[in-house]
Amino acid sequence: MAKNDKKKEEKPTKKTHYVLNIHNSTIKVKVGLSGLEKKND
Amino acid sequence: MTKLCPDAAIDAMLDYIANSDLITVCQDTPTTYADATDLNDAGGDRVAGIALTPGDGNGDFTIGDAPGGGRVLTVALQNAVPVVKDGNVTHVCLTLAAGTTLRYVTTCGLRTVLSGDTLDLSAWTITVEDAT
Repeated sequence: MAKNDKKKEEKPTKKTHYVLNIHNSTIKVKVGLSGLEKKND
Repeated sequence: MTKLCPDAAIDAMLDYIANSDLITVCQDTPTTYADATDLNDAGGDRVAGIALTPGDGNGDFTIGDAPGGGRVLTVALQNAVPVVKDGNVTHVCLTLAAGTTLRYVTTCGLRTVLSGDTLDLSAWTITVEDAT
């Protein structure tokens, strides 16, 4: 009987291509006077 | 009375971000350069990344007027970025190798990826509004 030399089947690994939705950012600049207090001499 | 933060002041901030030379896609929430650049489960969170050309107007970063006031930095689309580690990606980072600085972190739509996959990274923006 012939030697069984059948190669083991290799399953190809499926590669996937994705589109990644990157989120936008907004930075707000606030100017204020918090922290200033009236000083009574 | 009107408050004023000159464009030059805002641009200085956006230039700092636009001088990044790498964009990475990460699992978890990176808070350091090492988190953002080292591979996922090997001391960091990175599952994918691609080099960028630093600087405003050099191809990957553009700074201009924002609709409605202020200034906006646009980071260009990156196509077919290779995934090098498995992971559940949630964050995108900008970093600079010189000085090993983490320059910005944003979020992205959750995606489970495997090593060998590829990602198109959408263009995205960082807007700094006028002072109020």
